[in-house]
Amino acid sequence: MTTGDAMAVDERSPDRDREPWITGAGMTPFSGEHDEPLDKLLENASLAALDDAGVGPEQLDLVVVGNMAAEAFSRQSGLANILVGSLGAYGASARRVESTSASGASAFESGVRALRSGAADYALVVGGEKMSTASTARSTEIVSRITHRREREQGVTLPGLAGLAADAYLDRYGAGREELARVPVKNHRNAVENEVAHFRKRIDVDDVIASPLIAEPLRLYDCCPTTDGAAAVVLQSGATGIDNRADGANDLTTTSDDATATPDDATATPDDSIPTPRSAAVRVAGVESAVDTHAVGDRPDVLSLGSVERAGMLAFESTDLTPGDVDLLCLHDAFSILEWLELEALGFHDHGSAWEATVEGVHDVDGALPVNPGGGLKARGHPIGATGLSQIVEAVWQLRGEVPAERAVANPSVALALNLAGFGNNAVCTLLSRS
Amino acid sequence: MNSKQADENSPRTDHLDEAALDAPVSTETADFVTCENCKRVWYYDRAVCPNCRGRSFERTPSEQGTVVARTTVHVTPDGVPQPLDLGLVS
Repeated sequence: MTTGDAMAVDERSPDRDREPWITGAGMTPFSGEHDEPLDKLLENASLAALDDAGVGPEQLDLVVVGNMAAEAFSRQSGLANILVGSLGAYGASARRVESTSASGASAFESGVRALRSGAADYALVVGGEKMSTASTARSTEIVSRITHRREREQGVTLPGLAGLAADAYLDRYGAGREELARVPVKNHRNAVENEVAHFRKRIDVDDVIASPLIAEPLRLYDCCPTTDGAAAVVLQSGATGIDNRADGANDLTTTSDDATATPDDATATPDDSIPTPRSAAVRVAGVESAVDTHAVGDRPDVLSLGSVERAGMLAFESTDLTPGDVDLLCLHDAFSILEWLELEALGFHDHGSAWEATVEGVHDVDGALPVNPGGGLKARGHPIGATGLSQIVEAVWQLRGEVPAERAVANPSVALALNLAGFGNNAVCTLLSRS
Repeated sequence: MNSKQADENSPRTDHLDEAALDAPVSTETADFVTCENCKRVWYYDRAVCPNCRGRSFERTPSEQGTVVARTTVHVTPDGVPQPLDLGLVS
C-alpha cells in the first residue's frame, strides 16, 4: 500500500484483492430428459461459463462440483476429478460438495471462501444432477432418503412436510388455495421467455386447482419437477485485475495476460475459439449458510425456517446491504408454499403477509420485488445439485441485463439467491451486486 | 457397519443400515426421546441434546396433543401406504 496522494488509482487494499467476482456464467438447458450423461452436462455448463469469462481451464486453481446423488441416479462417483481431467485443468484443487438440494450453492460458498482466504484466484463452480435415469418411484425414493430416519419410518416425505406447512399457513393467515396457486402461475409465466427452462408454458389458477393432489392442499403444479441439467460460474478474485467502473464495464486486464501462459507444448498456440470476456463482472457481496433442526417436528413452528432466517441475516450483516437494496430474488420454490415462507424468513414481508404481496403483483417481474424471474424451481426445473448455481446464473444474467425484455427486471443492482436443503435443514443465501 | 439389526444405541451405524432404511412405515404411536441428563423431550432420536450436550437418551411414549396441521399424501415412496394421512401435533 502506498500512502496519501501517492496512492495510485488501481492500487487495491488486500481486502479488495480477495474480493470474489463472478466473471462467467453458463448452464445447459434444463429438461425432463437429457441425452447426455451427468459428466457431460457438467462439462457443457463449465465450458459455457469459462467461455463467458474468457478464462482458460489451465488458469483454474480450484474446481468445485455440487451434486447430491450421482451414485444413486447415475451410478457415478468422482465427478470433480472426471471434470478436471476432461477440461485439462491440471494442477487445480478439485472436490465435490454435497448438501442435498443446496449442494449447488454450498459448492459456490466453498469457492467464494477459497477466494476470500487467498487459497484460489480462479475458481470454477459447477452443479449438476441427472434425475431422468431413475423412474419416478425410484426418484421419489432417492429424494425421500434425505429426511430424518424417523420421519421416513412414518412415511414423511418432502411433499408431506410441504403439505403440512401449506395447511398451517392457509389456516393461520387466511390465504386461500387460489392465492397459493398464484405462485406457480407467476413462475410459469416468467419461464416462457427463459430458453433454458424445463417448462415454458403458461398455466392459470384453474390449471393448478385441477391438477392431481400430491399432499393436501398441495397439488402437482405446486411441486417442482425432476430435471436434468447443470449450471456453472467462474469466480475470480479482485487480485486478478477486475475493476468494476462506474459505468458497469469491467477491466479484465489480467485475464488476457494470463491467457499467454506457456502451454506444455511450446509450439501449441492458444485456441482462438476461447472468446474474450463478454460481460461485466458481478460482485459476490456476501454468501452465508446456516442449518436448522433436521427433523421438522423439532422446530418451534412448522412455518419457521430458522436456517433461512439465519443465513439471510448473516449474509446481509456481512455486507453494507439491507433487504431494501435488493432488486430481485431467486428463491427455492420446490413447493409453492416455500416461496412465501422464505420471503418472510428473509425479512421481506412480515409473517403471514407474503401471500398478499403475491396477489397484489409485488413479486411479478415488473413489481416492486420481483421473485423468480427465471421461473424458479417450479418452471425452470430442479436438477438438484444444479439448482443453487442456476439461481446464481439467472441473477447474473439479470444484473447484466442479458435476459429477454419480457422477464427482465428493470435496471437491477442487487440480487439475492436462496438455495434450500430438505425442508429447510440447510440454507445458503447469496447477495450479488453489479458494483 | 454391515449389521442388519437396527441397534437402538447406535444411531450412526443404524443410519447406514439398509434393513433399517427399508423398514416398513410405522403407523403406531410415535415415541419421543428424553435426554437422561436434563429430561428435555425431543421429537426424534439424536446424538447430542442441544439443551445440555447430553448423549444418553431414553425412549418415551408420546402423549396426546393438538393437531396443528394435517395433510393427506397421495404420492408416496414404495412401501408407504397411499394415501397417507399425516398430522403435526404440538
